Order: sequence, then C-alpha cells, then structure tokens
Amino acid sequence: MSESYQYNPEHETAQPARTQEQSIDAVEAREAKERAEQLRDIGRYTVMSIATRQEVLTLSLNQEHLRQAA
Amino acid sequence: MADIFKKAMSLIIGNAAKTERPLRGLTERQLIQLESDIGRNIFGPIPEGRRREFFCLDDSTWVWHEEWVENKQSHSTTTRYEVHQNGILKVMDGSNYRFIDGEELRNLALATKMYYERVSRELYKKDPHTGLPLDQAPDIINAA
Repeated sequence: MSESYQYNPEHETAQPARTQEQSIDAVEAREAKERAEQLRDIGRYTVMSIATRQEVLTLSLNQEHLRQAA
Repeated sequence: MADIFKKAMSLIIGNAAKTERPLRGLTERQLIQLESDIGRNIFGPIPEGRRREFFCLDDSTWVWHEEWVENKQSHSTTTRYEVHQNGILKVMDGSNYRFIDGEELRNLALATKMYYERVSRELYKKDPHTGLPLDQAPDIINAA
C-alpha cells in the first residue's frame, strides 16, 4: 500500500529557517534603501528651499533698487 | 530771456527730467500702488467684488492683501512674506506665522519673479535682466 499524502495547511506557510533569514535581510535592505532615498530627498529639498529663498531675496533687493532709482 | 532759451531747448531736445525719469515726482507709496496695479493681476482675473493687492513692500517683505464681501459683510486678509536668514516667514493677519516650503514656496518665488519682470518692463521701463532702460537694452537675436 502506497503512502498517501495528507494535506497539512501548516506546510503551506512554514518556511525553512534559511528562507526566513533571507526575507528578513531583504526587508532590512529595502528599508535601508528607502531611508537613504528619503534622506537624499530631504537633502535635495533643503538645497532647493535655500536656493528659492535666495532667489526671492535677490528679487526683493532688485525690486527695491528699481524703486529707489525711479 | 533765460526762460525763452529753456523753452527753445526743451522744444529741441525735450525735457530730460520728464523723459528719462517720468516717475521721479512720485512718492514711494505711489510707486508701490502702481506696482500693485500690475502685481494684483499676476494671479489671473480677480473675481467680481474682490479687491486684491500684491506688492513688494521693501527689500525683504512681500504683501498680499485681499478684500471681499460675503453675506453683506466685508472681509479682508493680509499676508506678509518676510525673507529671513533661515527661510521665508508667512505672517497672516499679524499673528499666525510659519515658514513656508514646498509648493507654496515655489509659487511665491514664481510670483515674485513675474512681478519683478513685469514691473521692471511695464512701469520702470527697464530690462529686468540687464537693468538697462528698455530703449538701450540690446535686442534679442533670434537664431532660428
């Protein structure tokens, strides 16, 4: 008599220890990548804000100069 | 005799004071009002019943003022944008204040740029890029 297969739902979800480690590594790597991207965006955004502020200041000074010279 | 000479010269060469600096006699307040006539239209058509002012107050302050009537009651709001070392501070009605960023900061920068370029050309008759009078500014060469 051949050994019949018994369905066990736990087999569906249980993973070997090695695979779990790999998925944790993958999650950590993804999170690290996301953090790096966020920091890069913040840096880029700060640089842009400083440049925009400088642009407005320059325009304000130019405008005042125009008026004084009128 | 001197008066006749002056009149004759002005007929020949024109009145320098009037032609070169036509805005000379105006006060700073009057100039700001003329600038605001241009500034208020930068943001598109003003809805009926609304009054809008947008102008550069001094070398670090921009002002937005809006008045309107709603349910037979008049309302107004004044927003001041102050350029500080660490950013641009938005002060609403004198009390509520915060530093602006993102889209709002970009929009303000765009509005101030359009204001400067239009006011420079239309009111002060100067090229906004070179600062030279428009009739002395070099023509743009069309390479196409």
